[in-house]
Amino acid sequence: MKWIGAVLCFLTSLSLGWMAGKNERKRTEECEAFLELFVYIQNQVGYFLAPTKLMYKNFHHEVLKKTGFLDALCAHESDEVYFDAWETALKESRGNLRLSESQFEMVRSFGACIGKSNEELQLKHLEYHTKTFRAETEKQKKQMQKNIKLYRTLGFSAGAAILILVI
Amino acid sequence: MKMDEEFLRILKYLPEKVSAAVFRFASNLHGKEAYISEIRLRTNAPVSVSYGERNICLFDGKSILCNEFEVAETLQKLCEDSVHTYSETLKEGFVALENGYRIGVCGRAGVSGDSIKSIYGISSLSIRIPHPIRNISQKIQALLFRDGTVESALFYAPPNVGKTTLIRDMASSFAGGKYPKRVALIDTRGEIYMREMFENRLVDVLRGYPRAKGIEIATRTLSPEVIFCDEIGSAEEAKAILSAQNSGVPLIATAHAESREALFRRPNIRMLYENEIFRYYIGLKRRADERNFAFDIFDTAISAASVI
Repeated sequence: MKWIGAVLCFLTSLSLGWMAGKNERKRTEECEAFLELFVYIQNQVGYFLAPTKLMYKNFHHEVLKKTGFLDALCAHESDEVYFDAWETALKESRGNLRLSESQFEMVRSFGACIGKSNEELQLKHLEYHTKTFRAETEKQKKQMQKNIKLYRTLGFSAGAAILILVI
Repeated sequence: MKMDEEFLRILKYLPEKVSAAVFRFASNLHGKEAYISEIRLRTNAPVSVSYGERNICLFDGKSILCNEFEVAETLQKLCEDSVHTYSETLKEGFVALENGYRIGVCGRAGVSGDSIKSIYGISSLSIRIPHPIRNISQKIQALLFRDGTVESALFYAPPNVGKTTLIRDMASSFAGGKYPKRVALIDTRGEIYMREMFENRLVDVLRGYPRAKGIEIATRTLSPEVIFCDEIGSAEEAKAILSAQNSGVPLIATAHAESREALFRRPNIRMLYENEIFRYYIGLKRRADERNFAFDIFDTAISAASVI
């Protein structure tokens, strides 16, 4: 019985470490997906002057789809008064997003610029936010590699410690 | 006043206090021809509506005022969060929405050289409400459409007399009926085309095209039997019209002018006159609350004027 309990504790601790690592990976994937969406939006504004309401529907990304953000964004297309759909969609899907508070704020600020000024000014704003978020994504990638190792090691070590103590 | 879906939709874009007041005012308008033609929002000034020939400030116990933020937010909403899509027309002072609605925009201009680079500090919005008015052009249609052919004509009048309303009805009639014509509609400001007026009509709408380019494209690629175009007058437009007319496509257009003399004083219109582009120059007269026009017709074929 003692052995079974000790092994269960070890496995739980190991999987917690593994899940924390996975969470970190998903956060990085979300950052990359948003970055892709930012570049796509910049092109839609710069090349096509596409109306905001219609610009998202041809963007496909599995990661953002899973979070429900893209669907929420596109669902507002049929709103009677189309206004601040980005902000609303972000709020709706906040629970599914793994972005950190600061990353979430960056995504929110990007959306706050869409469609609010003329082409030239808007492109400058979007470019600035994309640049900042690109740097954040790079930082997140490096952090992910470091953190995944850290979480797994921590999970393994804590599990092993519990195992030894119990035995 | 009969409030259609589009009008009610526009009200939803306005600040709540404004839409409630406009709705109340519109609900109290009676009679078939009673309608609001314009809603105007100004920064820190009373919200007004135009009805017939009157401008009325809206009250809700006291004057209804909008601040700068409310006016700017209304424009954002009307543009559906897509100011970039409308930035070119914004520089020209307007935003053309669906179904003939047009928003006149007034603010501070950021100028670079001779051209306007951007508009900021929006200070007033003039929301023009179109109304589908039918069967007001039969009298003049009989003159322009004879023996299966259409004669070119230029309608002139000061603003707000109903030039656009008239050519909208005329285009709709020409493109429908028992023997419809292929009509090309150059709708630069998105003011002429209204869905309900052009349902099941043979009409090709060139929406947002500069007039000159639109006329050129319509002539070259759409083989229209008649082209309709609103508010011509620039040198470029005059050249495009000259070229289109050489291809034999009749044009029905409008221009701002108080009188025929004033019209012919405009050099580009004068050039069109000298090149015999239009057979008829037709002045419009109508009180804003009246339905029927009085037409002051000048026939260049016989150099004679008449009034119907």
